[in-house]
Amino acid sequence: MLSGSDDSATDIRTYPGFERRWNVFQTVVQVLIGLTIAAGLAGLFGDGPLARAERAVPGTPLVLRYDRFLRAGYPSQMRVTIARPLDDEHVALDLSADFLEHVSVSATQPRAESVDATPAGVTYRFRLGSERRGDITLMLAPREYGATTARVSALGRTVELPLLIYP
Amino acid sequence: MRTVLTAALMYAIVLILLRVTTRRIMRSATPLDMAVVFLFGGVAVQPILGTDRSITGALLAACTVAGMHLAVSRLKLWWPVVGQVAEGTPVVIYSNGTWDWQQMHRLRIDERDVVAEMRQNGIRSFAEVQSAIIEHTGGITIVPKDK
Repeated sequence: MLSGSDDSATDIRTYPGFERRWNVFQTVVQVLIGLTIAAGLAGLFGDGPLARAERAVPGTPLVLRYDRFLRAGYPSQMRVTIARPLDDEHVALDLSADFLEHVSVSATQPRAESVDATPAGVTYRFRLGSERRGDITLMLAPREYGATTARVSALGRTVELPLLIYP
Repeated sequence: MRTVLTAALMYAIVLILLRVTTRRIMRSATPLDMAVVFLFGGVAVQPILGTDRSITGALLAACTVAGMHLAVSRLKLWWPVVGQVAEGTPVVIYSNGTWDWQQMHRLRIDERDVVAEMRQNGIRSFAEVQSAIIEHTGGITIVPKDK
């Protein structure tokens, strides 16, 4: 690098000390950019392999598929798969209040037969039809960022799903 | 309040990313640099005013654009053909009294563009011009004859 004394002919003030420090900072930021892209591809910020999670509700044929990393303002889904026929044509899903403080359920597929507010949260009741099995999709709209735990109860069992919502 | 804070944050992020991504961006108008400017603008506005208000998503997208720019900029140092494809090459359109009309039609440049550039350089007639070149930045360079 040229120093200030090398360019006396053009009378320009240079800052070699600052440039050296800036080059170090620039290299660090460029490495961080690379790591951010790699983390994004892996799904560390949601919508990727690392974000996808699957959890069975113990003692039931229900399996929950969801994203453990969400972004506030970016929609996501939670899919409930009922692998074996249930005893009843109806199934109720309870979502905990603290989870619903962070995430809204904007819609469900199929449409819930009834939605009831309870002191512990909200209960969505679905009619499964004669096969008594199938998939239920909850369209999620994360609102508040931070770490939270989604408590989902069905058929008398509860499962806890740790979630991280990015700003 | 959220809009103000998000805008301030995105301003800082875009400023730092632009600063570490390229130094030439404000002087050069190559497609490589313009892609960064256009995409940064779109990406940064989205969390401030758009429907996807996720700052993390915008940061991730901005980092990806910056990363692509850094990667292509480095690749063009190793393989010049990358730079030729991404930025273009200089093209001589006037040399020693002869116009290359074919290149001028291809680049959609006419004589008036060259004459305007000559005037800006204080050159009054083609008798003083050795050559005119369309640079890969889109600028026109007028090379005067040796006196």
